[in-house]
Amino acid sequence: MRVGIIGLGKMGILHAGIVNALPSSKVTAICESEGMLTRLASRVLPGVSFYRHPAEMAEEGNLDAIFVASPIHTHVPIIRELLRSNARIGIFSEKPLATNGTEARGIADLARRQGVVNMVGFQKRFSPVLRHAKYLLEKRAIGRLQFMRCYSYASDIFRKGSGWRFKKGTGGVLLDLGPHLLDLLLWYFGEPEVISAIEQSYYSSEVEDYVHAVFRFGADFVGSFDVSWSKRHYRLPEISIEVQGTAGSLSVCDDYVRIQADKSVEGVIEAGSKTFQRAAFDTGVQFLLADPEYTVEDIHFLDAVQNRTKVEPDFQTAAEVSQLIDQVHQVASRSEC
Amino acid sequence: MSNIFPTLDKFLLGDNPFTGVDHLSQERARERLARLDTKKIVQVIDTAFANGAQGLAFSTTPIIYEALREMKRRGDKIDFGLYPLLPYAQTYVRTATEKGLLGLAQEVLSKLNWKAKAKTIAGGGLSLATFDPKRVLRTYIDAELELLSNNAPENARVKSIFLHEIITDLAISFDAVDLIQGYANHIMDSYRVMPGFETRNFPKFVDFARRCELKLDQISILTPFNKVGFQMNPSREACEEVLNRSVGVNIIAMSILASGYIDLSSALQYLKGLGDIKSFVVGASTSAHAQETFSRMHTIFA
Repeated sequence: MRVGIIGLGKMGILHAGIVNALPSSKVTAICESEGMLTRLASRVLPGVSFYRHPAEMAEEGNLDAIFVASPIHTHVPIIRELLRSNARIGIFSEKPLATNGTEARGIADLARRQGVVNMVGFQKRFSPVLRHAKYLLEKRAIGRLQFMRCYSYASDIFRKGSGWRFKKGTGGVLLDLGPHLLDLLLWYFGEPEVISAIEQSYYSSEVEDYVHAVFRFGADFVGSFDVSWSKRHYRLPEISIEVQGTAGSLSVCDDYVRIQADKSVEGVIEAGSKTFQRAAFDTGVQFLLADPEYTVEDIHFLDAVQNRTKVEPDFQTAAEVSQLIDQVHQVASRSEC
Repeated sequence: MSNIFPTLDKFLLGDNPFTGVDHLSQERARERLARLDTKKIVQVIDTAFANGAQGLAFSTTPIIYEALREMKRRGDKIDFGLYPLLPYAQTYVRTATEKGLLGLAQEVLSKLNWKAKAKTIAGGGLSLATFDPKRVLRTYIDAELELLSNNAPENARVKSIFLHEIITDLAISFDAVDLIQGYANHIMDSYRVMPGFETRNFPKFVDFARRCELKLDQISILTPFNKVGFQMNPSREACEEVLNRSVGVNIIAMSILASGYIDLSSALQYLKGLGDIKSFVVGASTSAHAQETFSRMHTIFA
């Protein structure tokens, strides 16, 4: 398969590295608007065609699939151009799909109408640990859910930053670190109602560095959500979800899922305490760059493009995440008034 | 020909617990990090060396430089090997996130000392308009190694220099033969030690090294080997198979405890049953842990 990459940031390089190492795909085209970066990459990748405009790449590149890994606010206009120029190409977008729910919903509907295979980079869904947590919750291993707390933290921002990540409308921690955790919440528990939310800036002048929200998932299942990129001592971005049910409790992070089950659920879990470590699930991937879930994700996408099948998580899923982000912002701004 | 370079030490202390790296639990890494200070890190290093560790494998982080400076300050005369891993990727990933790739390049330039900077600018090394990845890598390595030699105790000696997996594995994917050859030649010519490569794609790396015309007995490969196949790609079996047919290759096994998932005894039994592994790197977060780990390794591999 011939694959194009849009945007040579760290995610673009990561996907390019994985795709190029897989046996049935090659990166044959790269689109990057920054001229110096293009010159830089062309020194290392002599066999790749470089473009400045996505539509040009889609039209001339003879591509099967494209990964959109440019800044968030460019995703929707780029995907719109790709859909206009060549509806046959499968499109993968890095998360989040858009800067707001309306745009995300619009582009998701357009892609669906055109029958284009599409996917969004919520790679945590391919983590065996996070998948196992979903399995345990679905099998009611801790009974009916009562309350939860969760966070997504990173030690990234301790001074004023510049660029689109720090501009109102295109940046902020909720758009940057929030989507993975919100996607997991939607995947595990369904759509919540945002009861309350607060946003706070510490280092950034236009965007929030910290967000706290309270969600209601059902009549008696509630929980809190915390996200910050200014959390001290988190060398790597980290996600955690702790949930209590009527028959036990479960906590899950990138490294393990720990369950305390009051009673056995046949074929699912024995009563008592058990921790499933990441190492217990690790089975190796064809080519590893960063975490194995990126490879699994890319293989899923490329298989779906090849077989013209639907793949999860897609643009529709991503639109739900963007709409939830909008709701948190709206509720937070109402509480400030 | 391999004996033109210093021989690799068999037992190396890794620095992951000192820098907050734990592939099994970030929570545990944070707790450890909160407990550790330079004095305690130096104690762990001392205990490891007293119990059979002969070298230190590390990312070039400020905390490691601090520990080395402390050992130098107290006038350590102990002979041991230094195995730096370059670049310290996490810092650069964070900078790239915050400032973009161009910002990253500027930051790297700003960190070089004035001599390296003058040399770089004169050679056009980090001028992005005439960007040469090989030259940037060379300049960066020289700057880091100069910093290391200024900080290391008198009898510590660099035995191999490892290229971080993010660079090695990207180079495999993009078949960046020229970059890897340039790196290997620079390490061999300028430092007279084995060029080292960290990888989590061992079988693919061995094929790639052959394409780069690197002699496998003149490079070292830092890669995971453990009985549960943790971080062994594409599979434990494939890595073992390549190990068994790669005669003379200098493997330094890492992740031998699968980040603490496997107990020491069964981890060492597995490694003992493997083919030709030259060295083992393992981290220790306390002196007691260092003593147990290295004395057991010595007993089992004696």
